[in-house]
Amino acid sequence: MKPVIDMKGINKIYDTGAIQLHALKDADLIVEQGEFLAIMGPSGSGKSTLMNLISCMDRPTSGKYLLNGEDVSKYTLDQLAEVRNKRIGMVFQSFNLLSRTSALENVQLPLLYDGTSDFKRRHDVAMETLEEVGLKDWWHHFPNQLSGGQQQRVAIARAIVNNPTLILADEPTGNLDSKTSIEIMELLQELNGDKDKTIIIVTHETDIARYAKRIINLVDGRIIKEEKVKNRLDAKEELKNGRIKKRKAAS
Amino acid sequence: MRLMNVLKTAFMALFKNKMRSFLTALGIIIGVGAVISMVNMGTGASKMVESQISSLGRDVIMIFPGSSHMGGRRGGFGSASTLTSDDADAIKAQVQEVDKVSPIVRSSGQLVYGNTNWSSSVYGVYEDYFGISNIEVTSGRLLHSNDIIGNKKVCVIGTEVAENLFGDEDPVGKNIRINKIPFKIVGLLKKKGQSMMGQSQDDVVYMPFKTAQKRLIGTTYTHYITSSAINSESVDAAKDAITDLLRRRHKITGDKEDDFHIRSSAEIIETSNTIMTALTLLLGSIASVSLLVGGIGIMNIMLVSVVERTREIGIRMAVGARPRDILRQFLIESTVLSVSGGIVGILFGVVITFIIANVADWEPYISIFWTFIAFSFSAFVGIFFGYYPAYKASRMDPIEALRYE
Ligand SMILES: Nc1ncnc2c1ncn2[C@@H]1O[C@H](COP(=O)(O)OP(=O)(O)OP(=O)(O)O)[C@@H](O)[C@H]1O
Ligand SMILES: [Mg+2]
Repeated sequence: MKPVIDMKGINKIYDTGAIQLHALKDADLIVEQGEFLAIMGPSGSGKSTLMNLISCMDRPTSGKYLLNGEDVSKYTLDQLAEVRNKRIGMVFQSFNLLSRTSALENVQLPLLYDGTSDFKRRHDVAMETLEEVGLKDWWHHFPNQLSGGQQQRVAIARAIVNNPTLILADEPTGNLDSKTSIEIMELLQELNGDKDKTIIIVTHETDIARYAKRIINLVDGRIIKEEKVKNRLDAKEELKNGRIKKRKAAS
Repeated sequence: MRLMNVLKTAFMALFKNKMRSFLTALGIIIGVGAVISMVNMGTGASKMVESQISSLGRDVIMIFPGSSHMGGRRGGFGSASTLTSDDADAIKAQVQEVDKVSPIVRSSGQLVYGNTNWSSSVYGVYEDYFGISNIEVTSGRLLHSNDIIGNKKVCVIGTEVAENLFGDEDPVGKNIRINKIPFKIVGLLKKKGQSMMGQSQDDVVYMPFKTAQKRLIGTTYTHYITSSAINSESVDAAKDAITDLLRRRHKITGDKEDDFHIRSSAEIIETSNTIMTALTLLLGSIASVSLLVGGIGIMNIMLVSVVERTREIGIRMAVGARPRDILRQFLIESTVLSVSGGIVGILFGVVITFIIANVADWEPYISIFWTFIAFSFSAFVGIFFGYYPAYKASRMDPIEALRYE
């Protein structure tokens, strides 16, 4: 089976007039179906740049990028938009929900651009997806009426509503406390395990990276280290233990 | 993205900024309202003028003293003294195409009844005048040929004169003094309303021509002559015959200019139509400028809105909106803004039209054609002025847009 992501010799150079910034240097990356990859590295090392290329928000300066075996590096803006709509779900550090717009409508957003779904189907699919992330009863709430964790769940629901195979999350827990972070990781692990989604996250925290299956390290625009996660953490277990610990502390 | 979704999104976006949307639409509301009320006002005025002129009948021919080439000095009656009542009599006797003829002198008169005073316009006319001008009485009688031939001191008066001199009393049979000369009132005229120049046509007194000419004014000329052709087809023939006759009578030979000029009611109607159409277009185009200003307001607000919603644009692009989806969203938003402004503007314009018609005392006239034009123009304004901001939005880099604070 073809890998979900097959990148070879990817370069990204930002041309900011006076200086040219080489943000990614000859990056090679292969991600197989069902993987859970964490990208780590110091600030400015090019993690987000790499994510933006993977998510088809941006095009590489040079190099080859096959997504599900298709060369998307030469795709038009419209084709890239379709890829983002149907095959990739994105989650952001700052949630990026539409303000003054209900959770349900936020989740429906990708369905507005896939050209097929009618009103009722949109509503039903979005509702089901909200149920999957455990926010069925919160569908009418605006983002500012939800906690950070809940907002990120809505964002995840929006990312998976169109049933993409690939989920990309750039520091999904960056704005959350540690318990909520684990809850989000639990959700991502579920999607990875039960739904066989390929997941790539960017994170600064080693603790969070340990929920993934594989870690790559970026330094100064190069992928320098790759390792399988030993003693992988299970978010469900962690939460259970956490609760036990707390109860013990209380008694 | 389907049209219904886009429309809903547009309405919601506009609704989230109610005040701003309203103020932006207000530019269009005023623009469309102004165009519609101005054009309707122009059309209403010209309709009124037309109806008043055509109440004369299309077969009326008027003869004025003085050449038609005397430049701007045509206005005043008697600015040249070349016509006499003998000319009128000759026209009646000799021109077959002419049915009725009356010379007319006009003066202002001081009317006194008991110790009540009123000043009014006094006309000296033949009995034919009433037929030509469609003047009728409500009580008493009009002037007869006996009154005219006998230079009797009788008169008929308009309703406004009657109200001011007599109040509720019946004026018929009463004696009044006009410029100190005693007259007997034989008839009260039917109410006629305002003339096309805005003067009351009920503040008038008619008396036999010679009586007015000799006793009140003291002239041997007539201010002008009015006549009617036997039918509207004979108007041109009548004009030619009158010209020939008067040139002969005034001994104008060869290619010397006439010392009179002739206008038919048809010509007057046409001229006034031309003037009114020009006026309407002028008013309309002045009002269109405000519609244009409204459009610029839309562009301004849409530009602001695009910048403010940069992040939203980024989010939409991230979940799969194509540049054209973004373009369409903003374009529809500006169009919804201008079209709803247009609809309210139409209502606004119609209300203004009714108010103006009420104040000016004419039939309110709503031009469907111009309503349609103004409405389409408002939609066009939305698309035209919304395009640039929408294009800017659609060209945004999604990554930059998402990073925007
Ligand atoms: N649009 C851009 N124009 C110019 N330079 C850019 C642009 N985006 C990123 N860079 C530069 O590219 C380099 C990599 O940036 P990137 O955002 O990928 O880093 P990162 O690893 O995600 O950092 P962080 O952990 O702080 O998010 C940085 O030096 C950054 O300044
Ligand atoms: Mg980053």
